[in-house]
Amino acid sequence: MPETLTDADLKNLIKQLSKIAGLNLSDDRVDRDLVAYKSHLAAIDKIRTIDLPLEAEPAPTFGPTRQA
Amino acid sequence: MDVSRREFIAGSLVVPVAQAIAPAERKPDELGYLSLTDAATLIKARRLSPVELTQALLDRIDRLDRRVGAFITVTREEALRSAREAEREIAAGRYRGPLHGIPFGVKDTHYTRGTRTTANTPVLVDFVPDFDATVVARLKRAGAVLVGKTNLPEFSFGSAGGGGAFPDAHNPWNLSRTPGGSSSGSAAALAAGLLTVATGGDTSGSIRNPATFCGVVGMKPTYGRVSRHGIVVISWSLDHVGPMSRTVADNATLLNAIAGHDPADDSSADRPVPDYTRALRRGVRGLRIGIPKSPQFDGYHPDVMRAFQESLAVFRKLGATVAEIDLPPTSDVIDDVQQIVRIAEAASYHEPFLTTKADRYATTTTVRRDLESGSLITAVQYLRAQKVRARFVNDLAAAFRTLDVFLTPGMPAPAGEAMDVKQPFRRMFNVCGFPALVLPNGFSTAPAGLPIGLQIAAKPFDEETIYAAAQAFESATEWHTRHPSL
Repeated sequence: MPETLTDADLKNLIKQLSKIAGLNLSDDRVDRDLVAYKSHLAAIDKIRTIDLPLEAEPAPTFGPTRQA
Repeated sequence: MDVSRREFIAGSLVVPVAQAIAPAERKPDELGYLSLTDAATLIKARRLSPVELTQALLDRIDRLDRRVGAFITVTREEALRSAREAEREIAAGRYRGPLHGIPFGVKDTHYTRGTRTTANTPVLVDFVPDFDATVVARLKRAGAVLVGKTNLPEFSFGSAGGGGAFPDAHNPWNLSRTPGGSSSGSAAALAAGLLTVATGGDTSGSIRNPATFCGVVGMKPTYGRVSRHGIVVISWSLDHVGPMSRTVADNATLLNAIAGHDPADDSSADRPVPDYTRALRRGVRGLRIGIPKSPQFDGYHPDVMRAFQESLAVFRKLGATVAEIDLPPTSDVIDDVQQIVRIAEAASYHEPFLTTKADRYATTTTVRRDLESGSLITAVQYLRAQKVRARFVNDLAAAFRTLDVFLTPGMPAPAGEAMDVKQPFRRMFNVCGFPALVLPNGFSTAPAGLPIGLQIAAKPFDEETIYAAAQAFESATEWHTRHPSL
């Protein structure tokens, strides 16, 4: 998680992102969600410590013959 | 035409059955802990009626489930109707196989046609599916008898706690403690002798965690081995469905019935299903067992480590070799990978609920909070997690080249005890999709009397080797024979 972001910054970020996500979170919901969002950002930071080659592909694969 | 119990039994073949309970001496409570294997032998020989077995379990549920809380819905009428149908078929010589007439339960995430499927959330409390999940349909086709839908935390999120639309389940070994989660009701029902077999779901360890805490056997099969069609989703790429039971043999028999390709599930593996029960006699002589290096166990409960070391001694005595292995560096971040993949996929599944009925999530859980925050993860962040996941799968496959099975404790501590550990060895098997089973391997001394479990993992689609190892261990120990006092 970027160290320069304070809780107030993150709450503002959650508020704005929630609009893009179609959730339009209230201030009360933003307060509740902050701890979980910080946990997700911390996990993302840890994942970034793994160096990946440019050709690395994500795990799910598309299959044109699959019948969903 | 109905067949009376007396007629069903009187028409039985005179076949000696090992350890069979003679009908005249049978006490209803003894049927609560009858294994699938023994029950199937008795039913096939017409020395036990499916109706008698089902009624005995329903009676136990009536008497005990107010305290255990293992069930959200008991399908009493359907169960007795199915049991009578099984009885008629068997009496007419149309025995379908070892699941015929056997009572089972499914986690209340499994769609059941005409019976509510709540996932223990107010969001779905009135949801009645119009079809059966593939797993449920296969068990019914095998002649098994659905007794009820078992408890879970709201939407299968986390371990038991916080309720949802219905109160939490409790651990039959100590009703003040958690049974684990999220397949809490299935594990608790088995431990309490309320079901013969059950199924569960496993996205973060949700079969193996409660199976360990309740002292039963739980298998998370290889991803794609068992259909996910008709199961309420947490995360499409991490969700697994698997069998839960009191013995290894019962578990293998149940997997036989539910495994196999399903065109309705995009992730279902189109490959043959072996008869898993054949692996039970294989033994472990020459089996190559890998275990983590000791620093990976920092923070593990002393009783758990004692049981783990004693289990390794059992395997050595049976002829297996044990060697420490290095886990790949990607394993250090694999729980973080699982967190991001799980919550991003879950947020996508829940988008219609979050945008139209968010106020219906339980206020006593953190499910809504976790999902709303998960909705803010970007596609780039999600895909980075999936890239590290792909690398981890390759790394772990390489580590498994010199092994047949990989052993760890089922959980770092007994139910309800503090667990602050670096590596819990659960979510990694959801991330890689390799099969992993837990079975009882001891009881705690401090606090006293709580089950401890052993996890056995193997290469993809090698559930047979897991069953061979688990059966050898179970046959050499007696942990699975203990039951809680209720």
